[in-house]
Amino acid sequence: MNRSPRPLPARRSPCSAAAGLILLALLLSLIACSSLSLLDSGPHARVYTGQKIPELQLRDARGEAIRLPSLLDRAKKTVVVFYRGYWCPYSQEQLLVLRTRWPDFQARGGQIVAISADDPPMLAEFAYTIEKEYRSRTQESSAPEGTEFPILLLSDSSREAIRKLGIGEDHPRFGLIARPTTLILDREGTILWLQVGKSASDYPSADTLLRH
Amino acid sequence: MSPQELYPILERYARSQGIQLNRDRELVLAILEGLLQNEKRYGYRSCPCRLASGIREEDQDIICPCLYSKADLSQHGSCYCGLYVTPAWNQDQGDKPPVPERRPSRKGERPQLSK
Repeated sequence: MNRSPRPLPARRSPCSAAAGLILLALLLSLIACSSLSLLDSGPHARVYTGQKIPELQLRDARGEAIRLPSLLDRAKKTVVVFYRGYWCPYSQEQLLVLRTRWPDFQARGGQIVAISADDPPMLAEFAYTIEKEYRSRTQESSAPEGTEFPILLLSDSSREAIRKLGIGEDHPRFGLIARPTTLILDREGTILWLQVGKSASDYPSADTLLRH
Repeated sequence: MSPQELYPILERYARSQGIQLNRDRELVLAILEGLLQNEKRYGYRSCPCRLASGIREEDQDIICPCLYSKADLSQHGSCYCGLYVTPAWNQDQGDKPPVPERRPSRKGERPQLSK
């Protein structure tokens, strides 16, 4: 029986092999990047590293309107902390630690802005309580009279910012609150780093923030 | 102590008072975690739904169960936090509005309790 000769396998040119490898490497790095963003921003968050922070309308303790972008010029980098609320023991501890390490942030040209769904009048009481606890822990009674809590507390009582960033969770007592979320922004509002906590106690340490 | 260990202790306490822990076990465990966190910080279990001062004398009225819980339970069927509830509250499956704050916001107006 005559057998027809087997066709020779098609030869790949070295150029197409190299192009394939480059394509594969690009694909793998794309997958790695996207899974990293999902990891640090959480499954529902609509905020990613590398993107610009959307316009956020907030209010200070006196109820005055504040736009987040207008604050970014004041420092090289801004740490934006979304905390659960004045009532949360973990938020209190987080703000106390950041207050304690404030000089380290300041020395690096940074500033800290902390945002929650708390009403504006609650912000002043929260700041006062944390400052008092800080002074009693550090026994810093020599602080000049009238020294203010150095972290700017802002209110998102309308929950617009929380909704816009997709970082909210429903609390049976306090309604929609922010999951503990921390972002580091540059002057232009680009998100350099972020973490959306998976639980009330899941927030980055001051050392982690200072490394960025 | 863990929230899971504290749970049966407070469950027994609630039963002895003719009330119950909220049927939402996950919520209760989160509240207990806050209570234990406050105990670690201040040395007493202040309400994890309120801002404590860290000074026992000032926080006497919000040490759990708080001074306001009896009135809240009788008027709303639940304490401010939603930890302790009445049996009727637990049976009612409908949505319930949050219990309004009864604690005076001004320190001078808060009740002074004996130590």
